[in-house]
Amino acid sequence: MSVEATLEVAVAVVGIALVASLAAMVSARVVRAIAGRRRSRATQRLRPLLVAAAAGEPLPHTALGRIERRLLIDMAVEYLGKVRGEGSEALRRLLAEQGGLDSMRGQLTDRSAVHRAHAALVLGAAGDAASRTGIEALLDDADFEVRATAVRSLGQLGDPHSVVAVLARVGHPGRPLAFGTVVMALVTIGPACIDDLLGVLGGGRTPGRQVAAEALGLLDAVGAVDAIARAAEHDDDAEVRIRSLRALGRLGSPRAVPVLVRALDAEVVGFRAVAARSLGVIGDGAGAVVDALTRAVAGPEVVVSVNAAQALAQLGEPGRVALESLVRPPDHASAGVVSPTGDLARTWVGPDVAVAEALARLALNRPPGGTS
Amino acid sequence: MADDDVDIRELVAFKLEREGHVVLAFGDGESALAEARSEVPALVILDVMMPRMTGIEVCRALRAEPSTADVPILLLTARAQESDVEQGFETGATDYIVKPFSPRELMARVRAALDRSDR
Amino acid sequence: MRDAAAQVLYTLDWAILVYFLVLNTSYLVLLIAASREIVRYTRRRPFARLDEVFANPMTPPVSIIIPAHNEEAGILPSVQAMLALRYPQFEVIVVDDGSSDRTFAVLQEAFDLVPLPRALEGSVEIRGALLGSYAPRDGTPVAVIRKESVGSKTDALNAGISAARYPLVCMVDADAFLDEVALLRVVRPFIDDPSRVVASGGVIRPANGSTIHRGRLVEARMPRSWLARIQVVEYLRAFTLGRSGWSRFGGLLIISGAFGVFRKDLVVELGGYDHESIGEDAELVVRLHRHLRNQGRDYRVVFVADPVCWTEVPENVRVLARQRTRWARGLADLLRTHRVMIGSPRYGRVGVVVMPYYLVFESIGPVIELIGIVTVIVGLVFGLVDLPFAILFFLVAFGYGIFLSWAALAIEELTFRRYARKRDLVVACVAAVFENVGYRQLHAWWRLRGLVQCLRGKELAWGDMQRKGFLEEQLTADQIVVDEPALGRHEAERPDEHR
Repeated sequence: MSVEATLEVAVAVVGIALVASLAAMVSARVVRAIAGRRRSRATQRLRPLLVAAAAGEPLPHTALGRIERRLLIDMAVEYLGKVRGEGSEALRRLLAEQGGLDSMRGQLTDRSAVHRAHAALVLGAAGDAASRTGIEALLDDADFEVRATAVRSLGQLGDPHSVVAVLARVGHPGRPLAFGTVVMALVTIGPACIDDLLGVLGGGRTPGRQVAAEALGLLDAVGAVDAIARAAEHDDDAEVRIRSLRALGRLGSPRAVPVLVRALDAEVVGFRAVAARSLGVIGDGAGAVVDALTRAVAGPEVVVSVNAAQALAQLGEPGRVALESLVRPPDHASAGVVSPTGDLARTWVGPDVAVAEALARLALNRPPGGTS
Repeated sequence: MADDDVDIRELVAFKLEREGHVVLAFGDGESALAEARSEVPALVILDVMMPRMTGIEVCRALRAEPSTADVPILLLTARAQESDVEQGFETGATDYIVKPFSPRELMARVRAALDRSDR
Repeated sequence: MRDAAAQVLYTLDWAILVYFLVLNTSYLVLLIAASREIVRYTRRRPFARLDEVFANPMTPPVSIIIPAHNEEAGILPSVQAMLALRYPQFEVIVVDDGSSDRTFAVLQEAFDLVPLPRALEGSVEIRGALLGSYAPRDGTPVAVIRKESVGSKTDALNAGISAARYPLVCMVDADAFLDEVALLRVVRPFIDDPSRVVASGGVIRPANGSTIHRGRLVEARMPRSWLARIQVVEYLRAFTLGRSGWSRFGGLLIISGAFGVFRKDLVVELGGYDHESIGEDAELVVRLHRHLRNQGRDYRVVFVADPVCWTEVPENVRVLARQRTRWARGLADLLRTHRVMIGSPRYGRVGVVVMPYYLVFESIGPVIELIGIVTVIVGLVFGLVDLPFAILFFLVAFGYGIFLSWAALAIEELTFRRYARKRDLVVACVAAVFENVGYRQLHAWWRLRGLVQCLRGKELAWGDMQRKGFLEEQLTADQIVVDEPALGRHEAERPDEHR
């Protein structure tokens, strides 16, 4: 092909491409402007209705067009995120009344993942117990967002019967559920989950046990201390053990103290660090605890030293005394004075600084600054 | 009251007006502060997390001035960590409400705060 | 003889034309991949569950690290804006890297700082002497570490990393403005996929001309200077498309130093940032790829398509030139240091596709571009090249490029729409033309210089160059419109500004 011909083709192609992109820009603006105006008009009409509902007022029955109904659903979900109590109930009644919930239930099996996720979101926010099984089915959905929204919605529905279904799928290889979302959902459902979680902690698969360990701590399952302490010492999985140790701290029961003290001598750094932190949170200032933590402060790893020092600071008078006994006479290293070699970081590393920091925080009445 | 969220503003204003109060709602802390200084209100409701001036800062500013130092202040926030609650009370807030909140509960606390300040 | 010369030139120019065709088509491919990714992302934004991320007790706490050198003007609003970020638990660590101005004094006054010792993580190398650690008396989660400067941002960053206490570290430039939900958005991938995600970055856009209030961007506007406007279009294409596209291919190479979130344990494992490196932010990510692939670990480096970080770009040609030369040198340096990875299947897509791509199109590319343009023009002048061919050449080189920039703008219009005013869109379209015709060639020249500097070895004291570049960029901080009720205050802040 000759240069001229190629040129003509090229000019045409580039020309069309340029015009097309300009057209896309302009039409995007125009469409957005029109849709925006329409939407804001509809929003203005719907707003008083929603405010009244959120305020818990009884509402007159209103007929709404299709677009308005769709908009209402989204606005209602927004409001539901902001209010509790009678306001939520009125909003849910409004949603149900306007047929929003029916259409959403149908949308759970829509072809588009975005629509399915949207449906799950709305139904969860609306507290529609009837769609629980439909949403549980979405736990196996191919799309990650859909699964995550399903988990969240199940949390909002608050039915403990969903717990087993969710826990069974946590570590699913092809279609995993986000760990944090699962834990959050369990916490939202509340103490009703505890029995199921204990069951999983005792003998479920590893991902389930990890979730259970974490969630039990957040659910204040004080009755489960012994079971969690067992898991903290004897579980096969290191992550389960760490989460259990952390949970013991959150639960705050002094019964956990012996296990935690033993964990301070564990092989794995992570165990020691978490155990130290948990002991601080529990706040039991018994002699054995103080001694063990004092030993831990002198250890080689910074994270353990820091956590142990902070923990001592949280144990009241015995802890403070122990910290002060660890203070060594200041030398040039801990004063942070300039040293011309490259390893200057050493001046701020080590048990001395950890102790100094813990004491300083104590003096200032500041919250502990350990590593989580 | 000050809250950057228009939904909350309208909701709270609605509830308060239902009970016969006069409500001045602002979208940011600075305007609310300016208004409170010019005409001292009976009660101030502040959202903590606002973009330009946080509720805590407004609270502090109000407490710093003699004319507004005794006005009951309710802090509204989605942030419920202990340190934030502590900070809220330390700056002189009268009460602290976590979002999502119950409108009825809010009104109960408003009434209580107003009663207390009347005495 | 003349015919022979013409023949040679012709062949060369055709070859370069093909190069441009391939280059721009690769951009097109990235653009298509990115647009699908972005559209997907925006459709799913309502499910971002940001409020859930905020309320979730499992959301990992973040240590925000701000390296600061002579930032007295902006450090306080910056820290205050960070503290006002919507995020459940985090700390802000400011590293005062030997500032000679009132950077520390400003912070000390505003926060009532008291000395508070801080134990550091000991394995990351810090070269400057550590002078002191401070924190506010009232418990606000801020820490200020003062250290001596060694003329390197890397050292400040490493000090910050050592001082960090939380599992995620977020590096932010002192002059960057973050959206309120920036952390929530950029941390979310860590929550969704905690076992694999190791680093996450967001979109950076120029803040020039936009309305900033107390460290927060209030309204995105196109800048007033043409050089900045061109950079807006450039960033839009490079970031929103380039990085989104690469992220989709699993080959995200660069997370900007202006804003990035990393897992702290991995950064420490890597030994922090590299002191010898010029483009330390990119170097860290490449080293991350290399390290994790060497270990056979399954991992992901994620890019979040939302524009959440805004930073000042140079409006002065000299400063811009210096910045781009430095970046180019950094890239070349990085490719040389890690040349083992180039073309190696052991490093997966990063080794086989991404790094060679960067080598050919981003590093060596400028050379080819300049040769092409110069020879075509010379050829035209001396009659060795005919007009139709020249037009064809420039069409492929420029026209295609303009189309890509306009396509990027169209995607922005369809998705994020941060620029609300019509006028801004028109300005952007015009700037896109100049970006391809004029700016790009100038940029190629700067990149060529960077490449040459790298090849010539480290004759320049990199410390000098780095520090100068760092400093000079701060001096151009007079383009931000500050939305203060009393205009006088703005003038009082910058008494030496002549406008």
